[in-house]
Amino acid sequence: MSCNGGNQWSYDFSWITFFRDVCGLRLPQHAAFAHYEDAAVYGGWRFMQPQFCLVSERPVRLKTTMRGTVHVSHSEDGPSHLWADGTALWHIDGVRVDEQIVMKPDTQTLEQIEKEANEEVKRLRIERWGGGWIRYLAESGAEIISRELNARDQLPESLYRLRNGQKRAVVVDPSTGRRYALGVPREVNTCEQARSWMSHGLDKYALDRT
Amino acid sequence: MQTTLIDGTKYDLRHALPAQNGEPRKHDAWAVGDAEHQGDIIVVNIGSLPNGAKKAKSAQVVDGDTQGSRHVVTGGEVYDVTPEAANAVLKKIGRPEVGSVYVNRAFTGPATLTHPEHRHHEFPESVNLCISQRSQDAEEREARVRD
Repeated sequence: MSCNGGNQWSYDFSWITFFRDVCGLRLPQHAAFAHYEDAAVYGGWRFMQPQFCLVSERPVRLKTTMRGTVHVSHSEDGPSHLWADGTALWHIDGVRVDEQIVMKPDTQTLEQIEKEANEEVKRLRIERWGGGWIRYLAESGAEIISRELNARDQLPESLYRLRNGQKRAVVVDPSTGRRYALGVPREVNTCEQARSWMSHGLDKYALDRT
Repeated sequence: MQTTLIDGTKYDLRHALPAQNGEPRKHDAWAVGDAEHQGDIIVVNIGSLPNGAKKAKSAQVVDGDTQGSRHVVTGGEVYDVTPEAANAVLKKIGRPEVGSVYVNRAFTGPATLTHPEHRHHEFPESVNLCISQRSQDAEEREARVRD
């Protein structure tokens, strides 16, 4: 199905309108482009089929924040996107989450956090849970068994054994400073072994050249 | 340099975005077999394109529509590769083979690998394979890291 973001993809055709409206460029193709432009000015997402087209209204609420040099969907006090019929999307720093993580993070359970398959969402679940990482590690019965400074990135890493014997490598992303708790096999006993397992043995070839 | 505070200690973030750290990370000495990380992706210089590689329709090296999956190549060509052919090349250059679910696309340099949140990497003339990091889920099943 062919789809277009409408008003949310308006940056795409700003390349055309800049030269037309700011620089005064006039081209015969602009007449055909007018339909595309109207669809973005007056409508939201659209899903196009040869026989029909579904067109969404523009959202009544659209919240973003700056991440680096770009805007990403973000709201900590409600949905990032809300349409007049009540349909809503929830985002934190560009990551799609659910209403509970945004509005009632303290009602999450350890089981929900542990079963979260997406690592970014899992990180947000932990960070927004009252007590954050300290609570997560305490409630999961985590015992630290290895800790070291990653020589490559000069950032701390820890390996924990949970109450049920599973292992979690808590690592720091060297770009963002965010922490992640990644599952590793029970036979892993050091941070270096964890790093090697997670990278299929390739990490030792990743040389630090900064 | 951008920093982060972890358990009361301040650390430098040496791989923060260009907006924070000024410029992409340049890999002038990038030999066959060398590897580099960009978030959950490991880039390996494999020296030659795997057999049967086909130009990809997307410049994104890993499938997905989340923010975390937007590892996008500019300036180079991106190729779809089969896990079997990719592993044959990894074996040839003396690097560990990886499970088929972890093999993503390959790209040629000179190219810049960009991402909305991670430091960008500039690679010289080279052929590079993108491999996903792995972890275990709560049921101890091995899977690619998803973000």
